[in-house]
Amino acid sequence: MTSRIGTLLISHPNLTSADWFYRSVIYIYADSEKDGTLGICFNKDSDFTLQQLCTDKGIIYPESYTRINQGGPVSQSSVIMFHTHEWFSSNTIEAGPGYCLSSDLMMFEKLALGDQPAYWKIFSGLCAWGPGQLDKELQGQFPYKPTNSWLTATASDSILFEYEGEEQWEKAVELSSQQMIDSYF
Amino acid sequence: MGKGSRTEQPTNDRLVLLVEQQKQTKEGSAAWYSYQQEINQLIAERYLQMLNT
Repeated sequence: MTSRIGTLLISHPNLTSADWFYRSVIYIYADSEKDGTLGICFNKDSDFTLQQLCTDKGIIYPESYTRINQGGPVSQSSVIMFHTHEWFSSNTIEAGPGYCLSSDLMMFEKLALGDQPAYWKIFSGLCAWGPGQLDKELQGQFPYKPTNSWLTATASDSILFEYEGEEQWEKAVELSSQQMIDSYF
Repeated sequence: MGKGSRTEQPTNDRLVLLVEQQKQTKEGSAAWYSYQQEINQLIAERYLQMLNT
């Protein structure tokens, strides 16, 4: 099986708004035939700010506009930080080419002191697929429908960090189309 | 020549157990989706545990 780590999953344009994954852009950071697949949704923010989260942990974070993103519908109480690989905290592991994931108290302390990676986002929750589940979804195989399928693209700093919300989904759809055309030439 | 008997060892891997239990249900049924959710939750929990150790 070819690893899909570093791949973007972009939800099908015909997926209805009732679905959690409606117009979502997901980065795959772990992928194994035996242990399943994990990803983070990049374009759904939440009402919670990093400042609120830090305050709960007894840390003073100076600005109030950075929001916590909804990383996915699974384990929504967990908080992880996705960032570029030049930066590290006490619990940091690789999450694909050029990226890492951290999840510890030190990362909040470092962020509060202005020690930050080039690009980063904080997420609560994640996306998980059981062994073989994503393959079936990608192929639209029963019990999944074609609308459960995904467009795919190779991730970059630009698509992950320069856009948000629906605009990020639209740009990701464009990127997927462009990469597909490029692969033919 | 000795005659060997091989008894199946019960697995303690919860993920394997859940996948096996899911296979006993009808694909696409409510029970099947319920197992799928449990499997996905377990995969997420394992990753988070690994990240935090």
